[in-house]
Amino acid sequence: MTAVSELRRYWRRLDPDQEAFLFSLEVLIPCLLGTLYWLVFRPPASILLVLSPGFIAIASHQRDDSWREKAKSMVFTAAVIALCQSGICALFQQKILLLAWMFLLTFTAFLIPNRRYESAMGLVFGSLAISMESNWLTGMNHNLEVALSLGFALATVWLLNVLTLRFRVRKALAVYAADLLHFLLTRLGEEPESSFLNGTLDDLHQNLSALALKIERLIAKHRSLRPGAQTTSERAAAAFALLQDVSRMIFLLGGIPAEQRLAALAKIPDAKAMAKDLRERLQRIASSVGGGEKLGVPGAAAAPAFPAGNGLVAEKVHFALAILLQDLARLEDLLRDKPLL
Amino acid sequence: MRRPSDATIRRVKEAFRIALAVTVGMFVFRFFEFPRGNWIVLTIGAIYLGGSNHGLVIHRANSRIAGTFAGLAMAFLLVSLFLSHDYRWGYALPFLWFLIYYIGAITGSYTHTVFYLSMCVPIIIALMAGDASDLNFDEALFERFFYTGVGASIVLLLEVSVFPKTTSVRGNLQAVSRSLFAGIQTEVVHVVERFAAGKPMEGNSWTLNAVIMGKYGTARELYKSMEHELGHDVREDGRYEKIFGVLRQISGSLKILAALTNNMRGQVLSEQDKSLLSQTAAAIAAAFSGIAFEESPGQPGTAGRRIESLLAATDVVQNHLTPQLFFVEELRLLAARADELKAL
Repeated sequence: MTAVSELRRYWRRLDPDQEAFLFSLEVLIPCLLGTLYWLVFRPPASILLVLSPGFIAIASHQRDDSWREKAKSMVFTAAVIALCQSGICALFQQKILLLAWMFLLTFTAFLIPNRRYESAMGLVFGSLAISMESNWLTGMNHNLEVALSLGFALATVWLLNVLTLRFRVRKALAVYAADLLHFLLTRLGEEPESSFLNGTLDDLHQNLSALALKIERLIAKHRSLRPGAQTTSERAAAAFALLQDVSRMIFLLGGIPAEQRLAALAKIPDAKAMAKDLRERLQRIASSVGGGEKLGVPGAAAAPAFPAGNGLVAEKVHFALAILLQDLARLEDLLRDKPLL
Repeated sequence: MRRPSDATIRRVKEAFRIALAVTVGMFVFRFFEFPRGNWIVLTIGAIYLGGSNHGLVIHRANSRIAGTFAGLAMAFLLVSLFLSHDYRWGYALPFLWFLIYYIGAITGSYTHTVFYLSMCVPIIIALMAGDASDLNFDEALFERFFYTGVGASIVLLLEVSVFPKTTSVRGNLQAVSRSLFAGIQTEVVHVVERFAAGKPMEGNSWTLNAVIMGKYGTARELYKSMEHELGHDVREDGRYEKIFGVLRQISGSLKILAALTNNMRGQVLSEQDKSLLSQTAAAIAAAFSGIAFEESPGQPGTAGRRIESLLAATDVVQNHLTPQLFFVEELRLLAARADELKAL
């Protein structure tokens, strides 16, 4: 394996399916819109208009389940920012009242269940705007900026969600398939089980689970946002179900202690050919899913028979390899005539 | 009148402590008339962004101080070497924001995020301020570090003096562990039911396993953060790795059982085998129900011994029927892991 592909794998582990990059875009674009507004209209305020749309967009990243949940998060954050800023600006000279207001606002915001992150975010940004010259008028100006920022953030997050959905489903499925390939090769003894750049198998196990949940949410979103594309949503769901079966079967291989597994592989006459076949099929599938291309005609996937009497472990390993071949062939069939999404 | 739940009491006390921290921060800012004292309140809010568990907050406060110091030192160095004033540098702010957020998102390290934030924001402010402004850059850097220190100190002081026990990470860890083991029990019973009925798993059955792994990750983070309460790194005592290693194996076993259930090649189990497998599943589920994070280590369990006689009586074992035999073997392993976990 070359250093470049090792680094690519490391990068992919840091940002699997490029979700972090897309989330960062959700911060950048509202900020750019704020800057544009600032440049064109030259409002009296300041740096705040450039940054606050980003703050509000970040609040939605805690809840990537549904657009409605994201919108609720952003509105809640904007409300805390507005209450914090207007209260502070209006009461800035009344020290005791100011302290009472801050206590009440913080206590109430953090008391609301499941809104801790948004409350803290509102507080951070709300306090950023204070200056020694604060008065009720600056508070009103700030609130107008918050309302504008909320609009920028809502529009950007919604648009990016819709526009990048297909890319995200494809990317997530491709990363899932590529991780499975790495997982499989470690189980067949063709790659080391753990290294600094690959991360540990524990990381991989957790990543696969987190990625699987994300893919399911994305497919559900695709189904609801593009009702006219039901067939493609169903195809993506079917491909995902088959990949799930593949991952379970790799776990079956992995459940066998390494020494016994490798000894069993040595006993199976066609193990090397089967492993090569599996690797090539999984590579083709990952590339087809990620690139949105259709697959060519797949080769036959019949596993050679393995006679009983070679020990339970060898039978188990052969069983797993045969089922893996069968599942991958079904997946190839699904991708044969047209691209996944 | 109904007594509020432990979770509600915990939430009220946490909210009170955070509100107190913010109020104290605001008091210091307003009564000492610090010109940029709002950074104190900002620091307090930013520390609580990461959650309000005792251990997590202390870790975050320490990261904030370390990241700020390193970032400001780097900013001082860069500005001293390359400073050139121009207000148009302000247009770079959104890109800077993007970069900082992206680095934070992919590294998952709060110290890194604070480092870049502390380094970049003062630089941009200095560049935008211009030569004619009254901004003293060195003074601003010192102030930022001073206010961060004050904010983090307020949080740390209140963390150890106001409701330290109620908001301990232990309560959350217990809740997550109970939920984790409840999920494992449900999945064991379900997969054995499907296997006995000769039906493959439902399309979305894998989500339960994925959710279990999510809780595993949460429990792991919480357990690590207990180091601040216990005074030592829990990962060094050997128990930590063993517990989470066994939990991983359990999650793997559940996946394997599901894989086998989906590939039984149409073979049908006898009624006696079905009944014995149901009893086995109930025994394993009972073993897991007794494990949830206890105050004192549990007694070694007996799930393995209990299911041995049940499984030995099945036709699957007696007639050496594969691949069903693989399923039975996996159940044995699962019971052994439940016992191992209980002993830990």
